[in-house]
Amino acid sequence: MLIQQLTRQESLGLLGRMHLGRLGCSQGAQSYVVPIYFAYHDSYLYSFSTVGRKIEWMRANPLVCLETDEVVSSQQWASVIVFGRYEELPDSPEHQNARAHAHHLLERKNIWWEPGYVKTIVDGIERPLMPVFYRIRIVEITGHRAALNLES
Amino acid sequence: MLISEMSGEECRDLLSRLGFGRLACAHQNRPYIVPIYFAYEPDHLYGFATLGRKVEWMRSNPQVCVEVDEVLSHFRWSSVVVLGRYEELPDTPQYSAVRLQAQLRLEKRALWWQTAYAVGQVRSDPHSSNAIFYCIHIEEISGRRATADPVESAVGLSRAERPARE
Repeated sequence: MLIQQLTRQESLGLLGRMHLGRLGCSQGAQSYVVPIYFAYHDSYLYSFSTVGRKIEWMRANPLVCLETDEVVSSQQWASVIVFGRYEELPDSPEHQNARAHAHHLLERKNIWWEPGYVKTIVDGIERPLMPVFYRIRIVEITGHRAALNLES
Repeated sequence: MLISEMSGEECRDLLSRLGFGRLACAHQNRPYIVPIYFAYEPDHLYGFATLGRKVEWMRSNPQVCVEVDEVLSHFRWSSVVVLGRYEELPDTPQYSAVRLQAQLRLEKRALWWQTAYAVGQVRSDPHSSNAIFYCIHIEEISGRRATADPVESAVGLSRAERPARE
């Protein structure tokens, strides 16, 4: 197996193909990681969530990390890690364009679901669904690829 | 889609069945994520790494998070999040028993060393001095599961079950 570094362009290409990733955030010493769906476009990763620990932590500390990978087999895979900054897109006039853009991108990838369809029940309490749109500005991106070594 | 909490037992089942997940650690308010293979035992996870950013960060801040998930479609998935504390198992007499235990548990999983070498790009084997065994003491486990709601079940294949357009 050969492991190579991806170029920035190859890493961005992988981000564009993928839509499932794991988002990490931290509060104090504690880190936290959850799966998210995202859509990449022009230096940003767009996504949405309901209010919960992840959103609260990212509001307090916008430094985040996202990992996504495409695994063909244990010896053939590619993985990208993004360090970035969280930016919320609130429902206010100055963010309307970015929100509409996020919605459009997520819908095109079939990631958006109709709010009426989702119900979250935690501790026996139904959580109100208030989708929070956000984006992650890519600050640093690295990627690796493993390929079968045909000579061995 | 209905998102509900998983019981402790369901969370532990997923951890022991999958043995693969993402580890997050943090340094100076900056999180970092890497894929890892692990072996689950009640109250802790065993893992293997080579020296690199992940190990350096966990040595300076042992509070970590491990996430495992099984995603069948946008509307059908399970995800378990573990918050825990990193402890290194150095190659010393004091740790030899637990280190051996970690190694035996990990060896039951094929290819368990590969992510560590992928990240470190080290050309040595798990028995060399570069091998770092560690244990994550589980402090908190929680899990969420998404299932189709009655409307989606009635419709059959819901909109998001179709593969995403690329």
